[in-house]
Amino acid sequence: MALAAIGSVWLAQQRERSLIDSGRALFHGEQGLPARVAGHDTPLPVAASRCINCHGAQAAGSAPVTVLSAATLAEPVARRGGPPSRYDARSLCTLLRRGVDPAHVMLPRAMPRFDIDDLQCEALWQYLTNR
Amino acid sequence: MNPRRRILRAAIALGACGAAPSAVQTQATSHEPFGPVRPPQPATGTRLRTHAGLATDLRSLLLGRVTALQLMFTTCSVTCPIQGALFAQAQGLVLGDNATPMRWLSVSIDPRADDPAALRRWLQRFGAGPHWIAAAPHIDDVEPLLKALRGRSKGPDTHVGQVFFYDRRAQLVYRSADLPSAEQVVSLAQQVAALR
Repeated sequence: MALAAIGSVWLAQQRERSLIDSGRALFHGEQGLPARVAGHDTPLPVAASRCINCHGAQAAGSAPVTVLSAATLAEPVARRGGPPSRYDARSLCTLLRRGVDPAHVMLPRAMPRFDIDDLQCEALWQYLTNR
Repeated sequence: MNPRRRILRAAIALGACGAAPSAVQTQATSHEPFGPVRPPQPATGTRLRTHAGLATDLRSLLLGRVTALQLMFTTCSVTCPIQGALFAQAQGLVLGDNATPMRWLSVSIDPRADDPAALRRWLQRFGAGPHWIAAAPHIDDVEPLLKALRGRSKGPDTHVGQVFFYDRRAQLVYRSADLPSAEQVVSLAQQVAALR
């Protein structure tokens, strides 16, 4: 009984670790994620659409874009003039796919729209909220 | 169909793609954020240094060929990689199209950092062909250029993602919506080329 419980916890930890690794690879563009500008047919190259371009350490000239973390995603924050809202894995998916945030505010076109599946969303969520 | 009317129709099509449609569904003027520029606006005499190290000015550079101009800088990580990718896609669409000889012009708004070597590296990242030029203005000419194009934005990269179309006489005739698709860029360029 105890061994089964330990095994179950171990498996859950392994799964979470695997998701975090996968989320990290997605965030850095090491694992490609098809993306396009809203309304466009042609996909963007990964180098132009990976998350880290805008949400990582900033290049010299660009002003900071929101750093993604548990604090900025999972805590209630007023974003883009909307009421306070917080993300969860599901609303992060909606934002990535359709460009709509949890307060139903549409993001600018510079935020690509991604063809991302549920497991990839969860992986990204785990990575962003556990780093 | 009259070429100017075709341009207006293209503007309406762009509006239908989601960016500020009300701006083009009313009478488009040069004061609108995008759409036809009426009357056409002669290029500024902005002093430029190209990625090849050539000292020139914007007006001279634009003469003789329809040009799509974008604002960028090489250390920009937010919109510029997307802008570069869109120009690369558009460049690919007109490859071998001798009927629409195009010039692609990426103008840096950061001449302090963007020397010819940095501009060359930026072009190489996107597989730029021989008709894609990158250039940086003289530092004193950056703000006047941005003012003339209305190219400043409050976004993280401080410049718009629009494409500015110049005819063969170096006149600004059309401002696209923000981040137009490659297909829209090529379509608009072809219509500018058809203008008399």
